[in-house]
Amino acid sequence: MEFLNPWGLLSLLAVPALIALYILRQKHKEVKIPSLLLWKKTQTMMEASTPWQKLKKNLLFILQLLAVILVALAISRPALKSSRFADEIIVIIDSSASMRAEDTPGKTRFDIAVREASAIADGLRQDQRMTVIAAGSTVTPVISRSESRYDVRAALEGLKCGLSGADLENALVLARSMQNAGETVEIRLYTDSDLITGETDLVIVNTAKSRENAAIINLSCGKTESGAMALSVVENFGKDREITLEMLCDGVLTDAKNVECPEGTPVPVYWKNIPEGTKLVTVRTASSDILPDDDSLSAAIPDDSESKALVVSESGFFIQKAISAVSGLAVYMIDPENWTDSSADGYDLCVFDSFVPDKLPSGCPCWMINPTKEFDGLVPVTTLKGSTLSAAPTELASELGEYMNLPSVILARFSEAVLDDSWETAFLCGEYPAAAAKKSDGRVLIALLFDLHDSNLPLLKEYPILIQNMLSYSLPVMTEGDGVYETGTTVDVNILAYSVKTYAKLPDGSEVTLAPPGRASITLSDPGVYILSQDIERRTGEETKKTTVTRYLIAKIPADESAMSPVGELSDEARADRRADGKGQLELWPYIAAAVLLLLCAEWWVYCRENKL
Amino acid sequence: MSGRIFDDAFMRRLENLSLRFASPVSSSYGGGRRSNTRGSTVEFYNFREYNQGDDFRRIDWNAYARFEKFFIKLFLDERQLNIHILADTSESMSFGEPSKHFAAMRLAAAFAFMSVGSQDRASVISLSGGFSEPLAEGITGMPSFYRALEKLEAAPTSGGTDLCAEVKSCRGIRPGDGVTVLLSDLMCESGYRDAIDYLLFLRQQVVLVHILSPEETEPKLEGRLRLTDSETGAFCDITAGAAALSYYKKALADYTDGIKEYCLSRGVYFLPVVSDEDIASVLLERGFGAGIVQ
Repeated sequence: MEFLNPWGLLSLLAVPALIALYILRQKHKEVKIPSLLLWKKTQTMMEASTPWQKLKKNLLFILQLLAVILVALAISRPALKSSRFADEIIVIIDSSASMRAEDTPGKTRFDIAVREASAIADGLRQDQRMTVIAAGSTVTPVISRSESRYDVRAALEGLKCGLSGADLENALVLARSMQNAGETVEIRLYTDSDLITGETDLVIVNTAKSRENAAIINLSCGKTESGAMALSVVENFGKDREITLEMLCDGVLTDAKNVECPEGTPVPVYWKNIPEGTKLVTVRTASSDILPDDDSLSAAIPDDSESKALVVSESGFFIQKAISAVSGLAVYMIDPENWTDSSADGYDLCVFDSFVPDKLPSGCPCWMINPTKEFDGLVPVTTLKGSTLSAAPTELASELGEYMNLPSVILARFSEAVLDDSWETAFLCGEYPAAAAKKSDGRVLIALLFDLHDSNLPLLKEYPILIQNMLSYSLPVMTEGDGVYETGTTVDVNILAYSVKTYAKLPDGSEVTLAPPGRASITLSDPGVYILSQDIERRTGEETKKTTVTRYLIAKIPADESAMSPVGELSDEARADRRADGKGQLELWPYIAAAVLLLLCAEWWVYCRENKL
Repeated sequence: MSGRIFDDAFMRRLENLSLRFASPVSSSYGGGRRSNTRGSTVEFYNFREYNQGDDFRRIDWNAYARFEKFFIKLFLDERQLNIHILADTSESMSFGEPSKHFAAMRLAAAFAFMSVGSQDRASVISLSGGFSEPLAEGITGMPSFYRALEKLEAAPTSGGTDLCAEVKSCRGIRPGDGVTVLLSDLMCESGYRDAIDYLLFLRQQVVLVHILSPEETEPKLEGRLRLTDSETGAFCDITAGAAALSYYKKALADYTDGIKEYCLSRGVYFLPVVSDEDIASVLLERGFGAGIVQ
């Protein structure tokens, strides 16, 4: 129950005033009588026969007091909030990872929320509607404005708790947007978050009962001279306690440690003695708690295999330094005179500066800087006087020219070239192509139609940016980022050159094929390790070299979810439609007014009876 | 006090009444009541053989003719009855319209008048504040009765009521010498029973006249009241409504019934009177019916 006009409670000040009035007024009329003998007996008889006689003496006062209190209550407009009085009930169920916590064994918070929502569905009136919104990382209306309790129940039974965070704010915005004007709507939010809200028509049902949870919130691995080592961070969100941590190397239990974990303080734990050759390290807590999904975390040990780039140039100092500085590739340089068809074997990137070999290497991407003769559909025609660079209206331009201020690059001269349709122009100098690229046979070719020495590019900050963009375009990694993602994230997988199959091994051990066909992506639904692999078949002459490139993707639930009860506050947008007009609730003042009327009648009757009016 | 307590009309209605006293009287003064002693009245009692020294005039000659022996005829004597009228003159008696005191004095005068008519000797004693004080003594004839009337009319009301102490303080009451009439409202915390028992101990024929005022039998009270005792000054707060009055009447009935039962068990004549009643009628009807007057 709430008061729509809390200031009305000030009327209760009339209560002490009434009491004072009675105390002041309570004077008896003095009557002298012959003797009290009989009146004392009368009094004794009255008290003996009616124990409430003293109360009865003040019955008028009590009735008046009750009337004053009820009037004060009526003025303050008490109202009952209940889903029984709303035209529509919108139930938002937090389906974030923390709702998987089992405060009571066998029943997750999500189960409890669904059960309560089902109970509401069972109690739907015939003219009531119910909407269910699942608030996970995305907001999903599960069932909308259904009057059928069976349909709502079926929808609720089909709900699954996610492993990501909860977008409660957007869920509320959606719920508010579903409100029809003139209708009373009650929004019920089942969550374990400590939302701070002043909503009058929002009922927040907190399903959390415990915070006793510990989580491995971070794990990273590295290699030192003494071997591989790992750093894990464990945080205890419950009461202070000692936690036993175990380290598994490629699934084999290798080490264990007892760690004192004070409440709310991240504790770093270092792990050494990782066997050589270990690829994956997992750290987990030995004992489970209410949320097992964050009890373990894995990390891959970085691969120390080195990528190589070959620069074929007479004076490719700029390009050599730029590539090695930006990418960390081991850059080797040879003179064009020493170039043979087998020179590119084993290299991941070939850069030809003012030199075009008779036969381009087939196994690696190539950069052609200032090509001097025709190759692969690109025919240099003549040398023109240059000007500033500009971006061509292509997607390639945005990829290669990202973060670059192209007009600042000035070319002294450049080669006018004829490009066939397989080429895509990236930059223009005037109206002529100055940079272009193409992908053929799983290989990337990038052509810069000018000599670096004939431009101011090496002197500009745009130079390393361009090199990085070209490297990203030429040597795509399988996935962006550090390989650690929150559950629920969809990761795009780059198809590597000469990749014939892309597939992933899921945490549950099953294997799925991602490509071909089409672009590959994988959604990290469950926490754990996803082993992403691409089979590469690279032809070297007559020989086909088969390799498999592997990358570990680690999915973990959001850190906020481990904390069990992140405190949040709704934004103004989520509050925007809040109303305080009493809709969705039953105002009680008419009933109280009726009660006051009855009380006054009773008071009048008692008064008349006592005074024989 | 409204009007005179005794007037001619009242006197005429009481002329033929006298206080009933069944037992023989043994006082030392001659009067109109039969006595156990032998006397010279015309009422024959018995025969006795003549003894030397007896009066010859009393010899029954007819008996001598029959038995040839001298027999003396004995006759009963008549003595004067002592009537003690104890009137409660405490403060509580001053209430009522007419007041209970007026009724008490009127009754006292009536009993005194009846005693004069039956050649008895009456005395009126006031009781108040734990003491007794003679108002009028030796009322044996009309002159003394009229003198007594003046004193009765002038008698004030004051003080509290302690009937037992007051009755015990009455020096004029001798054992077995007559009738004691107690006129009171019996509004006494210490009770009336000890006083009656004391009078019975003195072998008095006791007549208890319980006088209440109309305000006591039918109180006209309402609202929130502080009732103050006229004698003690004590008070109690009540809300006088229908229920309270109903309980009061029940308490009054219980109290009156208790007195009646007690009197019955002790052989005490009981006469309840309301101060606004016609005293003569009360005596003629209820007093006659109760055997108090004849």
